Amino acid sequence: MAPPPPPCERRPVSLSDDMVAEILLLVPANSVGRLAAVCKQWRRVAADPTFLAARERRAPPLQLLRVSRRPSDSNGRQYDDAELSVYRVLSKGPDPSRKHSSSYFVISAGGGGEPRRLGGATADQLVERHPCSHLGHVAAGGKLYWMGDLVEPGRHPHLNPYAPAKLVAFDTVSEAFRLVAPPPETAANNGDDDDVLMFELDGALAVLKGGAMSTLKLWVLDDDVGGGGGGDAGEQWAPVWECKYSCMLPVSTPASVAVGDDDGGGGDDAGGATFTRRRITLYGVDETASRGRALHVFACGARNGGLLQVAFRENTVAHAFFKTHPSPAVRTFGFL
Amino acid sequence: MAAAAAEATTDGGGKMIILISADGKRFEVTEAVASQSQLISNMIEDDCTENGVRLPNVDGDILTMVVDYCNMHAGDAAAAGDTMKASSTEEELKKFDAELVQALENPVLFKLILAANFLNIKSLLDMTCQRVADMMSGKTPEQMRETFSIENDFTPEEEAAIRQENAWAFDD
Repeated sequence: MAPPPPPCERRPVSLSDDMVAEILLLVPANSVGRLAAVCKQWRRVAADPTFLAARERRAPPLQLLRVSRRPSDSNGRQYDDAELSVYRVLSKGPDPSRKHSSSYFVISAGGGGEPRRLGGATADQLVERHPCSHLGHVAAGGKLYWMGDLVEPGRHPHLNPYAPAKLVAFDTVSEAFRLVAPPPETAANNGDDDDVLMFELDGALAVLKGGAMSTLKLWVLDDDVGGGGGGDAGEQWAPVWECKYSCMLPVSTPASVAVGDDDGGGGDDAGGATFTRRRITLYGVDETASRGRALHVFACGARNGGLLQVAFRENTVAHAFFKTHPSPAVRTFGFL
Repeated sequence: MAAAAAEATTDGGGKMIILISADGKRFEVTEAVASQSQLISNMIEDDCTENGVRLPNVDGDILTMVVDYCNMHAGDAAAAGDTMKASSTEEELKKFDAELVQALENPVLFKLILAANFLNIKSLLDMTCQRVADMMSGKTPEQMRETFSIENDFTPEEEAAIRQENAWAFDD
């Protein structure tokens, strides 16, 4: 029988690529960047799309915020009044009492009688910016918000798509309409709202907007300030927008801002998310780190018929994968 | 045959199995202990453990550790239904695992990983891989090579390029 080798022999033991991958999956992201410089095998493993995909599944990115809401029909905004236990719909439709004109009506669900027309000059002057767009209408903090504007009385109720974007706020308690100036840097927008997302965040309206070329900012509206006086909706009131979050996009890679129709990604993953509508994906780097340490992913898609908007942030490997389109093996939206 | 197997399990896994390491060391363990290895569990099912199980790629000193680990954890499954017993041994197990893992250095650690992988003992594999991952974090590439006895097979140019590419990972 051969003599047993000494117990603590220093002969190097090599692990297979699979075993190395198994271990590297457990290592914190910022160490992965360093260990790719250890030896060729580790580098090979760390750069493998299958490994990156497995990492993605194993360590889902830290979720900054996640918003989902039920689908609503494009012309009606549904809202609940918790105190009165009434379910109401704000709808715009033709006004039988006035020819060639449309008005806003409030319809109470549960047989609450005839639709109630909302009077006032303001309601009649409102035009909708995107009646059917993905921006939709957002219910937050007892108010409904959508993109729109006022037109002067007597003019054709058609919105100039190149006019600066404005928001209409409808107070579900006082039933008053009011114009709200959009966040500071989103006003000039040439009619292209593809990179704007509106959603409810902690009871307030949030707007996510890609700015000039390379910045992405998340604005939250503090709509309690000065809201009480509200009868005169025609007067634009200066809202308090707080920039909650901001990040720089890599200037050299404008293509990393991908806006387009869904190509079916993530259809069979565990979460069961399917993207049937458009999505927006943005990769960026952390402004505060200023050296490209962090990856941010903002995603928007439809899930189970409702709109889902998600913002993620992850510190991860600065890999060529992020400079190009992800390989087919890396399902960027697998975590949705 | 099926009756015999059933009898053995009702005896509390009393049937013994011999494991034989690469260097010829023999370990006698119960079926219940050995079954934590999915490899051996499959062999037991296939009834091919009669003449001992030869493990040609596991050294005796490594197999000693594996057997210790399996002996310690054999109670896990048995105690699953008995909450009193499970809770009383849980702390001991944690302590045992922590001490085992803390003491591990390379190349023994890598050998234990290979053995856990070959024998297919998932909990041991997870634990040892986690230990390696913990040892990696916060280290420079040089320190990692030192820790794990890995040869630097990059040319200086290649290494410089890689560091450039992942510069953000080096500056904290």
